Amino acid sequence: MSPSVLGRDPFSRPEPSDEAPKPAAKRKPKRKARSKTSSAKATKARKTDASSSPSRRSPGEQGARPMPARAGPGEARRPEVLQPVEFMDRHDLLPYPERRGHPLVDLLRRATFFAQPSFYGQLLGDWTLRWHSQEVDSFGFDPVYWRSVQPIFKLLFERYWRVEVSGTEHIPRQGRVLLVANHSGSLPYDGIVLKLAVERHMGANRAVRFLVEDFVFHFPFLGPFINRIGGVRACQDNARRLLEFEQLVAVFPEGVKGIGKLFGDRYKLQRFGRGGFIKLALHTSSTIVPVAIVGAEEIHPMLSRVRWLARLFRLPYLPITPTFPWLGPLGLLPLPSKWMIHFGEPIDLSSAGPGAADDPLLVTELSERVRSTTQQMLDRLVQARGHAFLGPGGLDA
Amino acid sequence: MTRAAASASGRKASRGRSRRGRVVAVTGTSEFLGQGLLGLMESDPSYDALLAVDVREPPRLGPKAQFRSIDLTSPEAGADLAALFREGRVDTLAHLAFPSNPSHDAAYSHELLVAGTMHLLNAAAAAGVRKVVMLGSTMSYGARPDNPNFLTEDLPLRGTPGCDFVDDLIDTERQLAQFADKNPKAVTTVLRMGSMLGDEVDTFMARLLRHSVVPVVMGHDPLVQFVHEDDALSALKLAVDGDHPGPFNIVADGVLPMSTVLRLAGRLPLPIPHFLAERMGGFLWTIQSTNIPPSFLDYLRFLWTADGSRARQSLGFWPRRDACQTLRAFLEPERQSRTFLAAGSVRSRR
Repeated sequence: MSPSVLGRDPFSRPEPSDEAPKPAAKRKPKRKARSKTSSAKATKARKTDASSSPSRRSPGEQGARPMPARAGPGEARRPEVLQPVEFMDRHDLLPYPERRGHPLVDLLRRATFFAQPSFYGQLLGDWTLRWHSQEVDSFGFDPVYWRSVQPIFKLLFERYWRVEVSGTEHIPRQGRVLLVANHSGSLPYDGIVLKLAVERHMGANRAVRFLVEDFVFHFPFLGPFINRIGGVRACQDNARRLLEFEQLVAVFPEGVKGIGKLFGDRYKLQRFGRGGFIKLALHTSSTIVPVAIVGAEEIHPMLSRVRWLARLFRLPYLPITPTFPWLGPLGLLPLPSKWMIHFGEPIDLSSAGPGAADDPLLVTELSERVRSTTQQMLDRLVQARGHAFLGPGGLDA
Repeated sequence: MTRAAASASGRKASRGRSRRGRVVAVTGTSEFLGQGLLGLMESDPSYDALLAVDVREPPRLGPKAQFRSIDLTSPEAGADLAALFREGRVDTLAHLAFPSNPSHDAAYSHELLVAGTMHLLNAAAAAGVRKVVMLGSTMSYGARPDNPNFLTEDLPLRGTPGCDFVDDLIDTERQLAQFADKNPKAVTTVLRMGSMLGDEVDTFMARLLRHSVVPVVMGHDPLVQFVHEDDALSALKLAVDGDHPGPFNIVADGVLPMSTVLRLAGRLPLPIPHFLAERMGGFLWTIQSTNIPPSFLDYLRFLWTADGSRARQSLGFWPRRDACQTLRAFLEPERQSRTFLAAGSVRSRR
C-alpha cells in the first residue's frame, strides 16, 4: 500500500512513533550501503557466492539458504544416489554469526578461541577437505580423493609398470558391464590399474567399481583407502546393486586363491569360485567382458606361504617373496614388471534365458567358458609380452 | 456415589470412543520420541484416547492423554498393564521405553529392555492388543567387516561381540517375533533407527559429536548414516497410523565417512590404535569416566550402513533431511551460539 493512498505525502519523513527503534533504523541503511558497494566491487561470480559475506547476514537469513531441489515422494530418485553432489557450501557450517559485546570481552573471546580444540578442528577440516569431497556415494567412493591420489598411480601405470592396454573397444559405452579378470599380486593393485586403464580410455564418468576380498577390510588404513578410491567388498548384494545402478563392475572370480598363487603357478587360472559372477550377470542381464591382466603376478613373486604366521595375524596367507619379509616394509614395494591388459570380446548371456541362473549345471558350464576364454587370452598375452620385466624383445632389445 | 457415576460415565465414554477412534498406549513418554508421538496423536482426530506409561510424568499432556506411572521392570508390571489395557480398550501399543545408550547400570538397562518388553508383550497378548510398534536400532545388525554396504531387513541380526546392550536389543526383537507367532492377528512393526541426531536425542553418535575432540580408531574410517530425530518421529507416526508388519530400517539418504563427518563438524579427530583404544576405553568405562563402552569401538571400525528402501516403499517414509543436512541441523544451535572468528568474518572486516 503506497502512502499516497492513505492521504499522506509520500516524501514526508516517517512518524517518530515508528515501531523500529531509532539506532537500528539508522544502522540499517548504512549496512545496506556497505554491502552494496562491496557487491558492486565484486565480480559476478563472487556475487552469486553466498559465502563471501556470511557474517553480515543474520543467523536466520543464513539458515534459509536455498536447498538443492529434492525429489518428492512420488518421484524416483535412485540414480542420484551414485552421483555425489557437492550441494553444501562449506562456509555455511563454518563462519559463525558475529556477536558484538564489549570490545574487551570480544578480545578475550578471540584470544581464547585459538586455545580451543574446535579452532584446530575447523582448520584441519578445511585443509583436508581440499582433497576429500564432502559427500561420498553410497558405496563410499570419493571422486575428489581418487582424483588427488591418481598422480601416484598414473606414475606407476605409465613409467613403472609401462602398462599396455588393448581391446578397449570391446567395453560397451553404457549399461551394465561385468569385467571378469584374472587376479594376482598379493595386494589389489590389479583392480586399481584396471580402473585407471578403463578410465583413461572412457573418461572419468565411466568409473570402474572393483570388488575386493573381505580380508582387505579388516586392515586399518588399507580398507578405507581401497573403499574411498572405488573398491567395494565382494558380495552378491553389493555387486547386484552396483550393476542395477548401470555401473562398470570389475570382478576377480578367482578370489583369494588368485592373489595367493605361488610364483610357479603364475598365469594358471584357479577355479572361478562357484560361478557367482555368472548368476549375477544372468540376474541383472549384464554383459560380461573377459579381461586378461599380465604383469601383476611378478610384482610380488610369492615363493612360499607361511600358514601358521598367517593364522596368527588373521590373514588368508602370509607371502614369502624375494624381498618380503627380508627387507621389512621395503619388501612391500612392488617390483617393476611389464604389464599388459587385454579386453576380450563381450560375452552376451541374454540367450541363456531368465531361469538360467537357477540351473547349476548351466552356470558351471558358462563359468568354465569364460574361464577358458580368459586363459587363452592370458596365454597369448604372456607370449606377446616376452620378458617379465623388460617386455617384448627382452634382453635383446 | 459421585465416583461411581464418574466411572460409569467414563465407561460410557470409552465405549463410545472405541466405536469412533483408536486408543494408543505409549511407553517411554518422558523421552523425545514418546512425547513427540503423543503430541502428534493429540492433534490427530483418528485417535480418541492416549495412555502414557512411564516412571516419570511427561512435562506436557494433552486432553486426550492419561498418564500412568508404571515401572516396567517391576514383577507386577505385566498384570497392571494388562488390566490397564483392558480397561482402556487399548488397540495399539507403541513401545518406546528403550535406553538410547548403554548405561553403567547395566542390570537396570537389561531389565528394562528384556523384562520390560516381556511384561508389555504379555500384557498386550492378554488384553488382545491389535498392533504393536517397537523401536529398534540398526546397531543390531552389528558392525562387521564382512557386512554388505546395504544391510536389508531380512538379514540376521548378528550384533557385535561383547556388546550386551545390543544383544538385549536383539532379544527384544526376538520376543516381538515370538509374540507375532503366537498372535497371528496382531500387526507387529519394528523401526530400526539409524544413528539419530538432533537436539533432544542422546545416541552414541550424538554423544561422540558433542565433544570437540573425538576419539577415532586409527586407520579405520567407516561409513556412517544418520537420521534426524524429526524424521524418526514422522516414521514412528506413519508406523502407528497404518498397518505395516515387519521390521523397517529408518535411515536418511546418503552415507558419510566418519572422517568427513568430523571435517564438516570441525571436530578434532584423536586417532588411537585399536589395541590401545580397547584397553583405554575399557579402563575409562570401568572407572565410569566415559559413557561409551569399549565394545562400541567396532562401530567406529567397520561397516553397518542399512538400506532404507523398504521403509520408503511400504511405510511411505521419505526423510526430509539427508545425512549431510541432518548433520548440519544438529550443528546449527552450536553454530548460532558460537561467536566468531572464522575466515568469513575476518574477510568482511577488511
